[in-house]
Amino acid sequence: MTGMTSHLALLLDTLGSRAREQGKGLSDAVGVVGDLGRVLARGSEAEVRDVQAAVAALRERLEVGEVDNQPVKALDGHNGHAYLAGALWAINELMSAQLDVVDAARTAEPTGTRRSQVERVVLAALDGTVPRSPKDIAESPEGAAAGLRNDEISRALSGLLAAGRAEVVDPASPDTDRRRKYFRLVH
Amino acid sequence: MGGGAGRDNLTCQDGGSEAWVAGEIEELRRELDAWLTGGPLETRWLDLASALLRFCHVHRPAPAAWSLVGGEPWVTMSDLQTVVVGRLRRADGLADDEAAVSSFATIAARAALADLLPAELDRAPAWFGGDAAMGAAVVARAVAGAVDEVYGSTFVEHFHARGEHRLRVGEAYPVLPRSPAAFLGEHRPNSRPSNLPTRELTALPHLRLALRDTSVDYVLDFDSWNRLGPLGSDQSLRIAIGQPNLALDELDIHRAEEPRRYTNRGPRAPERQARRVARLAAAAGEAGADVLLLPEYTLNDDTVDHLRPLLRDLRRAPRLVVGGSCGITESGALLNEAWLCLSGTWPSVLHEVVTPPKLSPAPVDGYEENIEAGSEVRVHVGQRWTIAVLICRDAMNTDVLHQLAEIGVNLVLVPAMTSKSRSMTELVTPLLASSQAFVALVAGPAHWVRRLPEPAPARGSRVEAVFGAPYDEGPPLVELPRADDPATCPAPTARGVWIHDSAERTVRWIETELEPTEGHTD
Repeated sequence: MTGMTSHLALLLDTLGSRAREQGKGLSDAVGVVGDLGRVLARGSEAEVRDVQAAVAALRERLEVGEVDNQPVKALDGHNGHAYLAGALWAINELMSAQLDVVDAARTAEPTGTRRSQVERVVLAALDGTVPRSPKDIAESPEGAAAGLRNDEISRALSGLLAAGRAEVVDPASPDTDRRRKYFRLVH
Repeated sequence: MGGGAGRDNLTCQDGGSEAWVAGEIEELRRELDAWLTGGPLETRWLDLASALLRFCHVHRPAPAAWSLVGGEPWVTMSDLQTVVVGRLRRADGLADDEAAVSSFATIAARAALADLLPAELDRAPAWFGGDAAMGAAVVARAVAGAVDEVYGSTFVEHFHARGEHRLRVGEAYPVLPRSPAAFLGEHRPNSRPSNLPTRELTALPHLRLALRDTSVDYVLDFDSWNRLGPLGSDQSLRIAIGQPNLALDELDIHRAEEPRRYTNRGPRAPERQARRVARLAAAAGEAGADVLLLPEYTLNDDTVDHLRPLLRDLRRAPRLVVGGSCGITESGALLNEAWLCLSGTWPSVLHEVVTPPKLSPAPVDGYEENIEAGSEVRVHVGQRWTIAVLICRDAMNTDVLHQLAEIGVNLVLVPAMTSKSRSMTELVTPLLASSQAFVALVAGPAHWVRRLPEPAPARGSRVEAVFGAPYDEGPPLVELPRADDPATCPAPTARGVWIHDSAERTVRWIETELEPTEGHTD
C-alpha cells in the first residue's frame, strides 16, 4: 500500500475543496468512504493513524449548516437526522469493508502449495539467458508436466513484475512474434 | 498520456511500408488520455473499465477478423494484461493477490499506465496483419481486464450507494464473482465458468456491459444489501421448502368460460393459512434454516396481515421467508407476486419486499391465468448473495435465465403452482453451472387435485420440491419427495418442510403438527 495514505489524504482534501463550492455534488464521497474502510480493514496501524488524522481534519473543516460541526451539537440541530444517517451509512461501509476481508479469507483457495509450485516453475523457466513468454512457459516440459494454466502463469508473472523480480524485455530473436511479451528475471 | 494524440496514420512498426488508418487506436488513445488527466476524484477505476468496455463494444472487430491462428488474439491480450497488472500492482505497492484499497487511481498508478500504454498503442496496429480495430480492441480489453483484476472489488460500492441500478443497453453493471465453496462444507464446487476464449469483449469478472434490448427490465436492488448478509453465515446454506397446502380446493380458485380464464385469489382461509405458514417457519427456524420458500399463491394480503405478528413472535425464524402472493391493483386486476420477508437481528424487526409481478400468465388445463403481467425482474443483491425470485412459469423463460446468469445470480428461488414441475427443474438447472447458483423450487399444492379423495393418494409421484447446489461431484439436484425414501417422503396428508443443508448435503422432512380443529383440507 505504498503511498496510500498520501493518496487518501489528497482525495479527502479534494473532497473538502468540492464541499466548499456551491452546487457541487459530493457523491464521490462514496468511493472515498469505501477506500477508508479498506485501509482500516487492511492497513497498518501507522497508515490507519495517518488516515484518521486526515479524516478528522476534513470533518472539522466541513460546515454543516446553522450548527457547529461538533457531533453533539450537530445531532441535536436541525440537520440531526441527516448527520446521524450519514454517520450510520459511513459506519456501515466500514463494516462492509471489514466483512469483505473476512469473506475473502474464508473463500480463498487453499492453493499455497500449488502457488509455490507455479512460481517455482515460472522462476525456473525465466532463469536463463533467453527471455520467455507466458506461452513458452506453458509449453515448456516443466510447465506441461505441472499442468500450468494460463491464468496461473499470468498471475505468477504479474506478481514477479509487481515485486520487481522480473521485467519485460524484447525477444531474443528478431524473428520472434512481436506481439508476445517476453520476461526475464532481474538479477 | 503519450505524445501520439492527433495522429491519423500510423506506420507499420515491423518495417513494412504499408500505412494504416488507425482511427480506433487514436480514439482509444484519446479515451485513455481523458481519463488519465482527470482530477483525483475523476479517476475512478470503475469509470475507466466502463469506458473501455464500451470502446470494445463500439469498435468490436468484424466476425471475419477472428480467423486468427495460434490462440490469437487471446494470447496477446493475456500477455498485455499480465504486464499491466504487474505494473499497477508495483505502482500501488500491492503484493500478489493483495486487494486494492482505493477505487480512485493513485498518481503512481496513472504514471505507470502513461508510461506503458503509448508504446503498446503504437505497436497494436501491426499485431494482427494491419487490423487496427482488432489491435485497439485487444489493448482496451487487456487494460480493462487488468483494472478489473486489481481494482474490480471496489466497483460495486458505487452502485450499492445508489440503491438500485437498472440495466440499460450500453451501460456497465456490476457483477459480484463469488465462490460457493464457503457453503459447501467438504464438497468441492463445480468449475467457475472459465475464461474460455470468447469473442465477447464486454464482460469482466466484476463488470459487464448490458447489451440485450429485451422486453424485460432488469433491476439490481441493493436495498437489502446488509440484511441479506447473515444468510448462510455458519458456512452452510440451509434452505427449507414448505408445503402448506394439500389440494387446490384450499385456495380460492375460480374458472370462467368466456374467455377461459382462472383466477386464484390465494388461500380461502387466510388466518388458518397464516398459522400454517408460521408453524412451517417455526419448524424451519428451529432447525437452523436460513431461508423458507413457499409455493406460488400461498399468501394474499389478509394472510400476510395475520402472518406478520406470528413471525415476529417466533423464537427463531428463517432469516428470509419467500412465498408466492397475490395482490390487487386499484383497477381490480390481480397481480401474481412474491413476498419476501427478511427478519433482522431482532425477530420483531421485519423488512418486507414484494417482487414485481409475474411476467407471463400460465395456462392450466386450457384456462389462462387471469393476472396483469409484469415487465420487470428485480434482483436482490447482498454482500454475499444475489437473489432472484422467479414465479413459476417465469423460471421457464430462457432469456431471463440467461440474463440472470450474466448478472451472476447465485441464489434462485422459484415459488410455483404447477403440475409440470419437472420440466421447470430442467430449465433452471443450468444456473447451477453458469453462475454457480443455489436453486430451490417448490410446486404446490402437495397433490395436484381439486379435492383430496379418501384415502389420499401416496406422495412421491410428483416433484414437489427441488434443491440444487453447485457441487462438482454427484448429482447437484435433489427432487422430492422420493417414494423410496421414507425420511423424505411425507404421509399423504402431512404438511411440513424439507430442509436441505448444503454443507452436509442432506435433506430431511419435518412435519408440522395439526391444530386440534384442523382437518386435512379446508
